[in-house]
Amino acid sequence: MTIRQAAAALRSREISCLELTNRCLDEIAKQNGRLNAFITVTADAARQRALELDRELARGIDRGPLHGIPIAHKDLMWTRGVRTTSGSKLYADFVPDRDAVVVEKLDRAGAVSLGKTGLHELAYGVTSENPHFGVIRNPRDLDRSPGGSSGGSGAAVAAGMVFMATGTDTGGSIRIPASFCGTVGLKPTYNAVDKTRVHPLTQTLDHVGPLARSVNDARLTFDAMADPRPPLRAPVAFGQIRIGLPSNFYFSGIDPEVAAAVQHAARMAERTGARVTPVEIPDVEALNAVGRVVLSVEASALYEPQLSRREDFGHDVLALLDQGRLIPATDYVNAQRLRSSLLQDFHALYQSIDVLFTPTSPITAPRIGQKQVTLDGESIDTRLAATRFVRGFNVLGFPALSLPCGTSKGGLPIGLQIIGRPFEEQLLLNLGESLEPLLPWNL
Amino acid sequence: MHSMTPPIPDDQRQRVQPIVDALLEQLRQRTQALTSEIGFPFDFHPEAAE
Repeated sequence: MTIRQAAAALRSREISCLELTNRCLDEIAKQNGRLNAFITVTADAARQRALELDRELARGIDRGPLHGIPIAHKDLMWTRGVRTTSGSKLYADFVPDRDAVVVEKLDRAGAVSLGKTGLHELAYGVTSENPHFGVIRNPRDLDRSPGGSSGGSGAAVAAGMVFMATGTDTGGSIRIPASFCGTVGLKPTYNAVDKTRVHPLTQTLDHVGPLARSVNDARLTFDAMADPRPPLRAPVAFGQIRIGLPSNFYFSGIDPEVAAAVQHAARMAERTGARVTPVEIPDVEALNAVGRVVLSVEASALYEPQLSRREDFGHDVLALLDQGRLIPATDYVNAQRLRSSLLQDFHALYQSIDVLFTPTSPITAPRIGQKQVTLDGESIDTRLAATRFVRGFNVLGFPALSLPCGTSKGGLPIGLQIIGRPFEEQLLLNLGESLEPLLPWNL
Repeated sequence: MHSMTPPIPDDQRQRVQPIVDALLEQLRQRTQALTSEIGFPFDFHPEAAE
């Protein structure tokens, strides 16, 4: 059931907000033991809120499409009176006295929060194998990772526990779980969604966005999360969208099944009237190096005051924080300058296209604990492989939508990434919505 | 004045230093070509705190 379908059922009184909430809470009770998608479930508060929203509808107060829709928040978002762990031992008992702005916005839109989803420790990693709160599992295959860092959000949405969940994305943390779990994930333009009281990982790469079951669900929730903003240029007429399909980087070092699914999606996009042209992409290796340097230094600067408590960090996160301390300030400054230069290169590329199509990840969901993957005969660190196609768009701040575009022979979802110009989320969502029914995927 | 953050233990440093060196080599191959007019991608707004 999509949000639009649920919204119609609520208004026709086929179902109440409380019944819809209880159905989702039942799914959580049934599945969370094996998936570990939630750290905290706020069942009583959710039922109370659903009852209030039922009363509002009965009085003719309608908050819009999210009225009475069960959702969840990644456990980085401050929630008043509900502990917010950031997946870390450091914050295991932290109970904020205020909500994050994005939590307030979704609450005002009528969404019913069922609780807080698990994540990679401090959102600093892509496996969601959390040493403090346990391993999160992929509902498509319990032996596999849901990706991360928003792994609990991806698993909860894919398993039907909630209609949408919030996520954050510093180097792919919304799009990777969306791709591995078979959900839609939108990393909006940098600062399109307010990050106030969302626990940060960095100062200049963090983004907040939705994971949802369909592109329309992602649109409805994004519209509630973001501040309205006038477009920077005239909207592109739908039949005139120019899609760039990379002729370099994105189709090498990749699982052939993933490449085939994304190329098929590009052919399907032509059926919607879009024009697909091959394009040469600027230096993505440079973009990824900038992303890793900026992330390492900014995260280490943020957590330096806590680094005397080394035993409170997981091994992988501690190693990353130590790496950041070894990077000279001159390299950080030059990485930011290179970021400016690459931004110009990508704006020049977008003179001839409206959006770019790439795979979200070169791989499907890896096994839990899998450290290396083999691509083109070469063994690569799973974390670097998973982030290879997504990290660069955090550096640029461009919006990027991941949607399922096919399935591997092993039954695992494959993600298509559509990247647009800054603040052109609606174009990505329009294209995604028209493409979605043409792609071989059903949630 | 000494830092309150303890130094990275030697065994950890030996593990992570090669990763950092490889990353910095990749970065410096590109940053050496940057010209002086290229600055930060973000503006500083002194009025913002008012």
